[in-house]
Amino acid sequence: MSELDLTDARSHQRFEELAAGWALHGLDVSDEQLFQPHLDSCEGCQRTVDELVDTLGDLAFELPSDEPPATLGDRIRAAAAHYEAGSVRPLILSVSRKDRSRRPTVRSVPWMVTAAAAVIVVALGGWNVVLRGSQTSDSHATVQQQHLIHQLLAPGSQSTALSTSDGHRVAYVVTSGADLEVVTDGVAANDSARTRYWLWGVWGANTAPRPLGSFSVSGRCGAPPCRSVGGWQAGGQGDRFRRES
Amino acid sequence: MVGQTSSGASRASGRRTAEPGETSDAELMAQVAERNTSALDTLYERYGKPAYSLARRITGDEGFAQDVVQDVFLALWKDPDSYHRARGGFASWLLSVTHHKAVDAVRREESLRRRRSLATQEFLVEQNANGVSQAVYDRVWTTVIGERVRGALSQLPSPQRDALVLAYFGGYTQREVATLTNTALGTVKTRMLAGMRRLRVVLGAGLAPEGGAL
Ligand SMILES: [Zn+2]
Repeated sequence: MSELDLTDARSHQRFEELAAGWALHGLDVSDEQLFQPHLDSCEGCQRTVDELVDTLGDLAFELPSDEPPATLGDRIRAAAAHYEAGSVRPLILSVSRKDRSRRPTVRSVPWMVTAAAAVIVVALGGWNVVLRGSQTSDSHATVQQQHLIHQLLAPGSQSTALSTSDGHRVAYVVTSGADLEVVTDGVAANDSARTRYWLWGVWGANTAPRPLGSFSVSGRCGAPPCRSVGGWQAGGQGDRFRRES
Repeated sequence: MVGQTSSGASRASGRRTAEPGETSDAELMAQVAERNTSALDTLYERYGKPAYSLARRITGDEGFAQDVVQDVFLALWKDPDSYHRARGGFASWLLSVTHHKAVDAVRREESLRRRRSLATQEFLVEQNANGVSQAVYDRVWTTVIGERVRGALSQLPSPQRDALVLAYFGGYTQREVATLTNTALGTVKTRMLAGMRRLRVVLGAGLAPEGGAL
């Protein structure tokens, strides 16, 4: 186990002293190597470390309090978003605004109205994103789609088209009040048990992208876009998000 | 003893107490594991300030302190299970992680080490001098670590206090503390444990009013 005899109280005292160094993050490498395996197996030292960490927590809470800069929270949010985006393979789509003539109040969806770009990323790495070619060349499908989009656009709604870099529209983001829906048309189906698409809002070059919600694209629908029973949930090619306020 | 002084009078944040009906830290961490960014925001609102205050005192630098705090919360986001592997309360654990990262920054960054070295010399000279000027004493003890922490630490025998301050605020290892204080390593280890146990009693009993007995 170690060079120290655990049955000897004085030897164990030495471990407890190492527990203090452990809690203070002040052990030398050799002591750390000695203490770590002991800590894993000794409930007494685990308790000691807990108590000492708790005491140091008390001490830290008594320090004079400094207000962190307001930007730090944003930095953390951005770092988390960046981490999420970096752990997946992004499918970057540019956004073109496609508003109805009956334009709603822009306050309903500030992140999309002011968006310079939006990103759809697949939530898990390893899933190979393949953009299908636009399926809207079929005029019948296009009519269907336009009809659907109009249906979606109740008063107060607004849609934003998501296009690939070569100009193919593959999805619409439809917003109404606090709701946001995605209607996809040409985004590859995913295995919903393993992966999800995430919609990210990007609003400004210096602002962090923010995840707006996730959705799945089912491969079962023949002519895009299709709408499932019970709204835009499983099996459909759209999904609904509620905006976090 | 470490780094720059804080500007103006600031109050200790103190441990927060849970509001009735609010989501617990553990529940928020479970939500973080489900990639809920609002839960991360809430945890930051709760603990960003004490974490930043601690990191700033250890690094003595606002920029590095921000980096440390970002690292801490990003680590929560990347590996939410790390908390379940830890024992004890969330707040203490988070501040322990903050301490760890801040100390790592000081050990890693030459500029922070230089600044620490100056502050340490000043600290040790004062500790060894009798009748040190009140002005210097106040600046190092009160402005940097605050009256309440000073009050708690002042109830420790000075060898224990020196060892703890050098380790906790200075980020020195036990061996480095032994060298700095010209003391046998075994003695430093014993002092640190005894000092922390004494501190536990002091803090558990409520902090002494400012300027506790030396
Ligand atoms: Zn033990």
